[in-house]
Amino acid sequence: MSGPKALTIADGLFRGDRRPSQSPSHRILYGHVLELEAKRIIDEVLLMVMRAPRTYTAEDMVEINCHGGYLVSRNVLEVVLKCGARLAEPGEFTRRAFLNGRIDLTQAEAVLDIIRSRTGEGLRLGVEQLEGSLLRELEALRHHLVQILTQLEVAVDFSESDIQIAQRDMLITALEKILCRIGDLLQTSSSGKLIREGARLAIVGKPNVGKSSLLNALLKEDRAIVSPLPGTTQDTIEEWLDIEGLPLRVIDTAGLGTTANVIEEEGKRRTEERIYQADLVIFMLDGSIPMDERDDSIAQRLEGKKYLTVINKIDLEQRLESDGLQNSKRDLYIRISALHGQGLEELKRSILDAVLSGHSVPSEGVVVTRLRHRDALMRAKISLEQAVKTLTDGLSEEFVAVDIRDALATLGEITGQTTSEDILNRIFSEFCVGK
Amino acid sequence: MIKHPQNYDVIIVGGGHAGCEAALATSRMDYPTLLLTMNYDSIGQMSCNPAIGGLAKSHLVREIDALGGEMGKVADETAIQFRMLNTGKGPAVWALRAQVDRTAYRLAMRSRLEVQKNLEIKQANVERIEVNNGAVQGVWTNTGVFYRGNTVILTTGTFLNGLIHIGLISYSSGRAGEFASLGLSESLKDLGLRIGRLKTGTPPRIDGKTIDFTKVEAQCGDDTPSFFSYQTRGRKKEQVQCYITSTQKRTHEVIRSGLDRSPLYTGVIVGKGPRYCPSIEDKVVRFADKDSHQIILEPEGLGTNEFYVNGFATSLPEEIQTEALHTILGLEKATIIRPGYAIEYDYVPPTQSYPWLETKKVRNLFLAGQINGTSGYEEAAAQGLMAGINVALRLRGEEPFLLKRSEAYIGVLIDDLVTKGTEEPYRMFTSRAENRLLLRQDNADQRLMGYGHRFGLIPAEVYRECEQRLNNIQEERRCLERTFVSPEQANRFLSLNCGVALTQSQSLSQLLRRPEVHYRDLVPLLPSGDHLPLDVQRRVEIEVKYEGYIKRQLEQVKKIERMEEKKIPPGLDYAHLHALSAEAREKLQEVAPLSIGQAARISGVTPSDVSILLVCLEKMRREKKAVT
Repeated sequence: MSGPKALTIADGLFRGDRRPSQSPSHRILYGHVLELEAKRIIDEVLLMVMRAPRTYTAEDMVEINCHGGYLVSRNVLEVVLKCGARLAEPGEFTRRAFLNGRIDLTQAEAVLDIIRSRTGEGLRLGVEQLEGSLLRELEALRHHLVQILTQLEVAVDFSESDIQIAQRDMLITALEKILCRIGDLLQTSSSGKLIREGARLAIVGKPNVGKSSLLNALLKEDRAIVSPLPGTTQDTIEEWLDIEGLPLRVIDTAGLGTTANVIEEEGKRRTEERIYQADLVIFMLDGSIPMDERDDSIAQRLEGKKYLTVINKIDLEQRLESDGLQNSKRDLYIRISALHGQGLEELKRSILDAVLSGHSVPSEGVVVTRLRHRDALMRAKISLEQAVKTLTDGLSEEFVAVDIRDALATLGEITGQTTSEDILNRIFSEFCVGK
Repeated sequence: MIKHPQNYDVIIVGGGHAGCEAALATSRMDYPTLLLTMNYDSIGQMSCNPAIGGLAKSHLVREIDALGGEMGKVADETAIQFRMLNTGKGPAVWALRAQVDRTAYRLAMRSRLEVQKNLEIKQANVERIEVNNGAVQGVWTNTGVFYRGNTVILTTGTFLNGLIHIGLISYSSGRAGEFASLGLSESLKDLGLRIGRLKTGTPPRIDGKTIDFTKVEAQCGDDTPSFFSYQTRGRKKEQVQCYITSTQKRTHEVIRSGLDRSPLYTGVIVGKGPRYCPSIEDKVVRFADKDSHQIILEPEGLGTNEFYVNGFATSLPEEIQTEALHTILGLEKATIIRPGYAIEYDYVPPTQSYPWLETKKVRNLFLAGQINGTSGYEEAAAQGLMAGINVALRLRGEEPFLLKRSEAYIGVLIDDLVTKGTEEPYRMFTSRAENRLLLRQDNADQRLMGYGHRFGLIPAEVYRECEQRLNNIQEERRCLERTFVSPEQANRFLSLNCGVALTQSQSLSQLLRRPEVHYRDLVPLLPSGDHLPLDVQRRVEIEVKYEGYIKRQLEQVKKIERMEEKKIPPGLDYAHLHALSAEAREKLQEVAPLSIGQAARISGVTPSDVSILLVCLEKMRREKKAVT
């Protein structure tokens, strides 16, 4: 957090050695971040107090280090927002640092680059990348709100015309429907599949291709610290990965390292199960030996699934003929050596690409982008609840219009659309007004 | 070629609503002014609807009045019917509309100009602007006379290369029966200004003797009329009635049969027309499923039988106009005195001007009114007044006078024009203002009279009255906050109003916040009784009832203030700011905004462009500092 209220906000959510606002500068405090109402502990944290002017932005700053893990960071961030902070604009920390004189002139170009690169994709893409359906939902909601606002504005600016204007009750009903929908969205956004369960990754291949080596190599760098969510049961062992903020569950990791000792039927059955349950399959081949019918039989089972073809053991002489492999649009041959750690970066990129359907992880990361959506949805909800109250209280249209405009502006932060000209355009195309 | 012997500080070209306000402003601020008009008898003429005010427009009139302009006073004097609109809604959007005697209005306005000190009027047709070293020197008329002026304000309305269309016939004209202004537009082009083309239209005028009044519905004025001007004390004149009727299916058939001879639908008309003032042929074509459209017959004045057919703007051939009118209830035998017509005219896209209405290309050349792409008398008058004030300030060597969007509709109007430009005739709507609840009809004095007084356009006594009025309102509000009533007292009269009963004492303010309670209801409970004038009572009620919303809008205003205060150095060359997107660079170069706030409003400039602009400005500031 950066800004004049950083320390007071920290006071509101941190319990520890001492209150942040009473701590001298450049101190690390040990304590816990609490949920606001229930006062439950969200995480054990280290909180850093840095007082202006010797900070990155030259303002008071607070840095909270949590245990990492996707869910926990997000929960902490949510509390911070509830306590009155706002999400930084892209590049804002650096911009403030520059404007406050902490970054010198020679770095100005770099500052500009940072701002530009962070906004290159835009928030809208972030939504598409994570949840195309959210974008569609919001646009539908926005559309309804614009219709309502048009009615209100016509009533205000064109009351002389002899046109029919929606009744108060109808407007209230329409708004309540929208509120319901937003409520639903807020619910699911915190329990969306991608977030709660992570994308499910399966590693398959005949014995000895190096599945367990790959798993270990991935876990070495990207093991997720958070343990499986409470309430989930499984009879298979899973490992969690966190690649650039995207949570991934590698399913059924037991038996990956088995050699020819395993009963073949059992091996085949487990492979089929993994493929069936996975969102993404990593199909491993041994580059040092030609393909055989065991590879083929697994390959056949991949029909209709999203998968990556990974050729392992590239450190050895290659004897695999690649034209034996199936051609398909979603196919990618990635060459790695799990044992020696080669090609892993490319593999991780491909995994992300595949899970996010060809888009890259939003530059702000999954956690922040998500939170922007929730934040905006909550603010829109408040505005619309106010609008319903205003209508119920019997105040006239121009007051309701204020709240609806606020809600539209808030939703527009996510969908990237603005309002004002829209309304006039709509009025004139839908209503025969004016003399 | 004759050079007129006298030099003027201000020359104003065009005696319409913008020109009159400008002329009165500059002459009242003590600068010798010359008003040039092509027709001395059409000074202050209303071209279209014989009415002043209406939704959003009445806000403009009140603001003009609070600043010391003339329109409100003349309208009050010559109005023949007053109606307050939108009374079913909150007071922020109430609007006063007055039916005005067309002839009386222009005569009254002209006589104010005639008696004004420092103001000379001449009938002349200006066809060229004289410029030297990028600054205006004066104007040339079509009879070869040169008038020397230190500043020039062009308020030429629809006259620049005006072309009237009736059916497929068209002819050069600035308004029915008047010459167009030829040559001036080309002169502006020569000076490097980009010219665009717009179109507007007007309905036919009919002979009142031929209306069958038994078939139409009368519409009366308000019993207790309100007035536009804070300085109007009251008047005794009777009010006239307007008459409501409507078109029918048969009317639409007739209109459709004439579309092949409509200049609009055959593509003859090039200029863009206003969407919110559609011609009757537009209405019939675009809203074909509507069985009828409302028509209002408005009397043109007390001394005439002529009626204006509101809702029937058209450029269809005359015979179609007549035939169509005959299918309207009550107009079966109506005869047309003047046919409806469309008029195309040149305008100067307003992003080429500064917020004080001076053109960026030519120093001391100001543009106001329809020449900037607006429509409406009120929009024109507002610009004329602002241009006049700013010309005077320029001559004094002072900083220009700009109104913020949060201060006045006039601010919204001018900011929209110079920042966003306009491609169709711009009309004011309340929805254009983000802070609609702050910009009310009733509080124009609070927002603007101080300025009017500062410029010498509002007399001292009027200003003192205003201060007194505002004090009374605050006093009364404090009184309402401090006066508490017991539940019994309150419930006694609340039950009459079907309000929810109280369980504890409340202040009168709290009571007043309930939707069902009005100030008048509280009078019996007031310690000082019924001591305030009606309009003040209303204002107290408004401020108390809508306090919450007003506060919210004030907060929003504060947030935006910071961006408004971050100034952009004039003459900044955006071409070198490569970090900005190409579109932003182009738009910023064209509009040349004065502040970050204005830059953010330009379409095509995104929030990240604004972010980048902030960084670039800081960079430049430091580079400059490093050098010095």
